[in-house]
Parts: sequence; C-alpha cells; structure tokens
Amino acid sequence: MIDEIKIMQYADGMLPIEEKEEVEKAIQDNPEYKKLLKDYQETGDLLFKLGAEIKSQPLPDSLKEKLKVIKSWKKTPKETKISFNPSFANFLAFK
Amino acid sequence: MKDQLDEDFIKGLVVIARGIAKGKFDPYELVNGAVEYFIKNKEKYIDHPNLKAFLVMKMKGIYIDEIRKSKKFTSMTDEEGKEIEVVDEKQSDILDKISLTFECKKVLSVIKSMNEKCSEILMLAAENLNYKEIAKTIDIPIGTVESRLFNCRKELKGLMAQ
Repeated sequence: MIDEIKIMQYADGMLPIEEKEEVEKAIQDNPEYKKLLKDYQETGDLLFKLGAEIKSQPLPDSLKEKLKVIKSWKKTPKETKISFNPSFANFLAFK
Repeated sequence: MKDQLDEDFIKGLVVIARGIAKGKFDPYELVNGAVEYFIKNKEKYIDHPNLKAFLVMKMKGIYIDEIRKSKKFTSMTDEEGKEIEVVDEKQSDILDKISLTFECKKVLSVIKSMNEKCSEILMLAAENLNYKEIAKTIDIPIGTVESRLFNCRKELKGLMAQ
C-alpha cells in the first residue's frame, strides 16, 4: 500500500526521484492505482488545456493600457541601476 | 520588480481570477482592480517578494467587497421578535466573455460549481503553477496543497463523468 497522493505527484512529474521506483512498481502491480494514475493524468491534461485556452484570449484594452504603464516604469532613469566601476574607484583612491 | 509583470503574467492572473470569481463576477474586473491598485501604490509594492501572491490576495479582497455590495439585505424578525438579516441569494451569473472549446467550457462550468477552495486551487493548477508555487501564492502548507488538489481533482473527474 502506498499513499495515493504519491500517484498524483507521479502523474504531475512532482514525485521525488528516490520514491519513483517504489511508486512505479506499486502502480504496475495494482489495477486500482493504474486507474487512479489515468484519472490524474486526465485531470492534469484538462486543467492544462483550460489554462492554455484562457491564456490564448487577447487581453481587454483596459489591461493592455495598464501593462503599458508598467512597462514604461522600466525606462525611467530613476530605476536604472548604475553598475559599480572598480577602475573609477581606483582612480579616485589614487587621486 | 522581482516578478516579471508582463502579458503572460497578467494572463495567468486572468486564469486564477476565474477560480475566484466563479461566474459571479467578471474575472477581468478583478485583475483590473488588483493591477490598478498595484500601479497606484507602485512605490510600496514594486519590490514585493511575491507579486503574484499579493495580487491574488488583492483580487480575493475585491471579489469579497463586490459580492457584499451586490447582496441585498432585507430586515426580518424571528419568532422572538429580534431583527435578523436575510441575504437575497439572487445574483446574476456573469457569462464568460471568452470563446472556449466545448471540452474546456464544460471543465470551467464544473469548476465553477465546486466549492471555493476547489475552484481556487484547480484554477491555480490550470495556470500551470507547481505545488510549491501554489503554496506560496495562497499561503498554505505544501501538504495542504497536495491533499486539496488530490481531493478536488478526484471530485472534478467524478463530476465530469456525470
């Protein structure tokens, strides 16, 4: 007997590698676990498809406008990081 | 900004918003409200360590406020003459403004009919977040994420078969 949550983890590719062999063997030996694995693979696929379809829809103009505002922040000089120049620091130290 | 707040990030929020709104509120309005709040409070939240979690919390807050506003409270008295509040549950089910395939429409409709915890976690999974990311986003232990996902997906499978 194994914890059935491990079968969901296995279906999602989230099972720790050290437990993989034990879970694979349990699934092979138990038709109920095989069915459970199939069910979790199916629901995983359905959720993935649903997310992808929703994401494939264009954003409304109101959100596109907000994205533009956020993108414009990156261009402001205030947020531009000035990298430390060691050669310039050396120049100052020797002056 | 720690998180990359780009189009894909916003579209991910739209997926999660559908799990929060459950057809009772326009998911785009939830995202709009949360992003607007973030823009207005840029200085305070720009370096938030988990912007997705912050915006999801904000969307939940907006949803609760809006649902409270839309409910009509009427005053009634009980058998002892004390005043009690009665909530009018009549709420308009806002139709999704997107076109989905028949299969995805069915999944979304089933998810909306499930309890709040399930609809939320299933849409977080639909956003393709792993268990750890889901735990961080809604601030619950990873073990709770696993058991909740396990039970909700089992329920989803059963409801889809009906």
